[in-house]
Amino acid sequence: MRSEVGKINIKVSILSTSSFIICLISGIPLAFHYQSQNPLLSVLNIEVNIAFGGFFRNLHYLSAQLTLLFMTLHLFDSIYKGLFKLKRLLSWGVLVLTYPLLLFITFTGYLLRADEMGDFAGTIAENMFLEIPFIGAYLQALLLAKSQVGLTKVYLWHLILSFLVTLGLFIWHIKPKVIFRWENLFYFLWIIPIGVFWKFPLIPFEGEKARGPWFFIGAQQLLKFLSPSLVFFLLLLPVLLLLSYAFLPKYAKILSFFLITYIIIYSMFSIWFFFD
Amino acid sequence: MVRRQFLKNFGLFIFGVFSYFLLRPLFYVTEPPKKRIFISEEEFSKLGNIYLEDEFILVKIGHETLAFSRRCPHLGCKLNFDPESGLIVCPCHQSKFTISGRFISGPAKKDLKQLTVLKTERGIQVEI
Ligand code: FES
Repeated sequence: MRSEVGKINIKVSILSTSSFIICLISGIPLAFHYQSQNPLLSVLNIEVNIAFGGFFRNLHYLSAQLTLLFMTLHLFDSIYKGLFKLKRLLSWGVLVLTYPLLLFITFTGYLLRADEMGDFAGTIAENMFLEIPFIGAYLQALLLAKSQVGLTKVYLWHLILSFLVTLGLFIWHIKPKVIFRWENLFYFLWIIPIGVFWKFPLIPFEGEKARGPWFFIGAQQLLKFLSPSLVFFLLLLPVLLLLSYAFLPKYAKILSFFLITYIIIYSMFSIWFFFD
Repeated sequence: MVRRQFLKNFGLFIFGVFSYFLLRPLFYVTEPPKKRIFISEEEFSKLGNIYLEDEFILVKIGHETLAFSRRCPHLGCKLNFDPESGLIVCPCHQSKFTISGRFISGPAKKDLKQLTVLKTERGIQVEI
């Protein structure tokens, strides 16, 4: 078996870990000043009053996007090199499920900004949950409950899941001995200057066209044509595809074909959004 | 061996009961009470024909006053008024409605949700 598989790209692995760690650390000063009962004002307070608050918010935002990006690359890399063949069913499954979990954490972070865009995204997600038959209302109450309790639950999940994902990854997946070495220092440091210069402002009002977070733009466009529960299923589809790599390693090529087709179609919808 | 099996089952049982008690409150949320918003006669007469509040839209057509929820019937985005076309539009997936709440185009497929307007001598009251 081992001979068929390649070696993982260590640079991408370290980058995804380092941006994740930067994201965790930059989140700490924000968490001390964020109030989920009073979200928008406390974000503005962080931006304006707190020393380096704006910088940390930028850094947090940026490193979260980078984490998603490198994590995606890392995932593709491991599929391309056939590394799923080395994993047991359970461990591959857990790793794959980390990905939607991270997406959810990023998404809750997006809602926590509490500007108009975050508000829209939250309401849409909530109503999409409600469209799912049988368990929808439970999921909505468990995960978001924005229309009932505001951002309280969203914030709690943001913290709790970040903690759990970190715990899980560092126990079973990331090897601290490989990551925390002086040679790797610049994998961490390069993000910081970008966080100084690249600003991610709050977006109050977009007129007649509001845009969701970039990874959901395709879904937003799809929602114009398809029923919400169908779109929800389509969003889950890649997770199912990724999981099946471990069940059907023989059909990896076909699965990859489907995955690539999915990504192409999804990106096409995302691009269409801007021309519509 | 029997004892071990029993202990295992018992452990699982305890675990199950415990997770039930843990999960139960996680699924439970308290519904917020209904809100009533009062607009005094004086203020009301100053408003234009269409007025966007945070949670509702107030439309005056002739002598009639209509109130709609500002949530889009599709997936709940906050509706806006487009003065150019004179329509109520949704910023998220571009559903369009007339100012009397009729659905025109887009994925919403439903009319706007109408709210009850209570008229008194001192003003009007909208219930959300
Ligand atoms: S939420 Fe208004 S059109 Fe989708």
